[in-house]
Amino acid sequence: MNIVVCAKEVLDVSQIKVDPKTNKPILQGIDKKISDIDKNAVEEAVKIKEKLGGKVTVVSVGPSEAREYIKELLAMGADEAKIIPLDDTRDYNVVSNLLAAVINGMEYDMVLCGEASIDLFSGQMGPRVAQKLDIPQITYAKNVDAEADKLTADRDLSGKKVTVESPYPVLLTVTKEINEPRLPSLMEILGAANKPIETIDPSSLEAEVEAGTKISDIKGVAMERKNVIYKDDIDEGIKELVDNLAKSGALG
Amino acid sequence: MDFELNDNQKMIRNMVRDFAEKEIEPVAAELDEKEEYPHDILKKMAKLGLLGILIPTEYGGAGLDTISYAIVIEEISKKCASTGVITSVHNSLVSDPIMKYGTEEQKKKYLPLLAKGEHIGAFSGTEANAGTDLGAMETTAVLDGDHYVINGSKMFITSGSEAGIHIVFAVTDKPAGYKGISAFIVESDTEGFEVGSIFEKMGIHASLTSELIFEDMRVPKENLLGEEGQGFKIALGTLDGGRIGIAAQAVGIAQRALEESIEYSQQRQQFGRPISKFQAIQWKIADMATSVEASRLLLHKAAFAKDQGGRFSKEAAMAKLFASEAAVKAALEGVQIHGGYGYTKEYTIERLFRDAKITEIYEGTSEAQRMVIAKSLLG
Amino acid sequence: MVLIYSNEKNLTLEMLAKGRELADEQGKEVTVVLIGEDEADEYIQHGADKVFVAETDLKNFKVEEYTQMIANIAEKLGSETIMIGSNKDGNELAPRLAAMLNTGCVTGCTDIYFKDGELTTERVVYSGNAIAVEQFTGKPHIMTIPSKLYDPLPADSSRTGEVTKESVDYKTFPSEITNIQVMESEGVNVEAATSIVSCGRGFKNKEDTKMAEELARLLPGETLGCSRPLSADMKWFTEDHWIGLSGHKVKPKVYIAIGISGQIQHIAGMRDSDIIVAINKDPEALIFKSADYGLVGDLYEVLPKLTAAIKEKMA
Repeated sequence: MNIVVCAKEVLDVSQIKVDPKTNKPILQGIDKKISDIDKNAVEEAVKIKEKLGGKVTVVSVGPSEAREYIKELLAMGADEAKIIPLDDTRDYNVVSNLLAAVINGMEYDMVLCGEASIDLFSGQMGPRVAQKLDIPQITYAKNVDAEADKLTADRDLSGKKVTVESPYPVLLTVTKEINEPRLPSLMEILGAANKPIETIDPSSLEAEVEAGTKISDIKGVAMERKNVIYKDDIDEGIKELVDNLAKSGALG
Repeated sequence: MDFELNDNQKMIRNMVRDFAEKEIEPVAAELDEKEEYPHDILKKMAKLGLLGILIPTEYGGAGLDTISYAIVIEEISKKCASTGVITSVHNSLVSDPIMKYGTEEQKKKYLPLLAKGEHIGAFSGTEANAGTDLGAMETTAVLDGDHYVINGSKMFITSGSEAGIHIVFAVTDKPAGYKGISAFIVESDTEGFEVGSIFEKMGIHASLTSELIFEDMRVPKENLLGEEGQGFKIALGTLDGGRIGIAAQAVGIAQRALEESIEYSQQRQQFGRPISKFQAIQWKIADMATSVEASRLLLHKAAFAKDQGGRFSKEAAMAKLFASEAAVKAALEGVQIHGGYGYTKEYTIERLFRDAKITEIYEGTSEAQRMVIAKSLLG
Repeated sequence: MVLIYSNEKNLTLEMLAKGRELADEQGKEVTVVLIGEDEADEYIQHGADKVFVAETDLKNFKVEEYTQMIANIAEKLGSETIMIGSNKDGNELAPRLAAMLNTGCVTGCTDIYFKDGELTTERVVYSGNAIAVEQFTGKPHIMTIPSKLYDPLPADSSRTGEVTKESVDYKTFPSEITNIQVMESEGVNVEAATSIVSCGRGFKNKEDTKMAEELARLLPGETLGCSRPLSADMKWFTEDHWIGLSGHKVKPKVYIAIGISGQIQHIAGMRDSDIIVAINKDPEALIFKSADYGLVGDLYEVLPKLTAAIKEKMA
């Protein structure tokens, strides 16, 4: 089973603070990491490899320092990585075309993605890559049973569980609930240093790199909360709170 | 000259940080409150190789460098200083001397057990009347056929009641003074090995610290570590490495105190604005951050020096001295920044304050570190 | 030409209101696409110029085939703007469609308008910390639009329009839906609730969440919500209660978070509430940063007191 996982590094959104003056998020100086749900995808891929044998390849489009983060996925059990360095754009059209072009040149049975990245949470990459590869897509998978000739997955849709069966090749996007990504041991981290990481020049790929959209501004979100915290005299606090709720009409 | 961690070290830091966040943080306060030893955490750490950081791969360890080791202890201690010291003792005070002085048989027998975490290690040197002055040791070991018979007692032994493998120091030749001390590898199920009282301490509650009593404890001759009379040298050499672990623990505590203080000061409003807007608080935070940074640099320099293979007593002593005093100061100022709330058990800074103090005391007090540093400068 | 598609009728009607506005600004027409359904007139009454009914044998929504059908219809009609309902089906369809038509796509738009003559979208990014303002570089423009963003236009029975029924070509993909199981649900619609009492991990067991239920019963709508672990991990609540980035996004008048730590993913789901109240015993809990009113204390003590006080106030 040849499994490809699409992954990328993102800003650690939990560290983002908002500049009180401009009300814009401060994006400088924020640590980066592998997008959480991409790790679920790698975990699932490694599990499938453990069951059926085969190889897990991570493919990533991202800035040159992405290498450092991609190594973590090799430590988790992926066998090799291909990085397409691209510093200046994250456009879905461009990135999905590059990913598809690389995957098209490989032998693959299954492509795994996170349902969305935790920074922009668009959820576009999986469906776009599936379309470019002209293969079926199974999104929001929360349970996957891979067999030698076909795969069954439970999809988590609001209010219903849809079970889909597909032969290979197929693309899956997974949810955070599908598994608990493993932490690599020290030995696995050291072992990752010997796994191959190939850098692929984007201009060597036959892919359209026309952006579909352009982000013209990142605005702040007006989030003004009163932040009245009652700590010591809870009884008095409750009284005030209930008065305020009643005044605002929230009690109906 | 490069101050960047390498890719492996960064990955190790991220992994341990994730682990500590997921597995240690949620239970740390409770372990402290109940004075409960972190057995489950240690089991999970063993799976990740964190109990065999420095042990060579042929004995089942990760065979890593000392900077990586310092990173692990710092990240663990940030969430639980007790787990930090247990790990430090296990790795640097127990595994390290076996690696350095052990026979091939001893290494083959004990290092895999320690690396896999099947047994936790303890360093049993201190006695009621022999702390910094190890030469005053009273525990004796007398050769009787194929065994040494050990009698005496030990004091303040980290993991004493929980460890399966102990490095025990005892006098084999009284008249020879400190040159008459020898080291032994002792398994805790040896007959005559008994755990005495477990001490109630100010801090590091989850690290159980106990008294040990040896009564006609017969230890096989082949468990002598190094040669007879080499114990004092082994103890001093080992403690140099141990001090890197304690310095790392102190950096972890100080870093956490800084983080808690930054967060609290930005959140706590007085006079209509966050207290972080007041210069009095800003200066404290700036000083804390500066000494954390300086501590970490000294720590990494000492770790680097150890890996170069030469003597590093001075570097380790400086790192431990500076980092432990920085941790105590950071925790103290942290409590001050937290005001009345910092004095309550609801805030982590209270635990940090109690945990920080011990770093100035064990594995050589600050006074002992100054002696070591002065001796290396003045002879 | 504006094309609108969703497999949820409400969403289609809501988008129709916005689509009408966008089309009118440019002097264009609005077409609603229906796949495998037939009640075209209602959409005309609510603002559509045309309804395109694609006839198909497919029994269920299947993204690979639906994408091709919509792409074919869009090309046939020369659609410049395509609005897709932002439910899970729509959000996997829109990007696949965008890839097929080689164009840009914005999912989960929270606002759409013309700025300097350019169609401009806004969507929430960075876990709710920011809004990305985006324009398209080519056509067609593809967007997905969440529910409850727009009110449907009132029905106007005098409106007329053109209804086309055709079968549309598509290639069949080898994947197959083998089972659809409607999840156990209590039929709660948190997204429409005017007040929500929401439970988190601070509750020690399922039984204890009855205390929250008691409070909820006092408030309009009597709606209970929960954080991710209580639904996804512990299964104390069905998924229709789950509030957060991967669950439901809500905007009630009052949101009372009990024993919820306030992970950023949860905040992203409830940040648009008018008033946010938090009860947590950890004074450092993140939830307090996003709260208008915070009660620091053990929920087992504070919650019954709050319930009693509200009961008294309302009496």
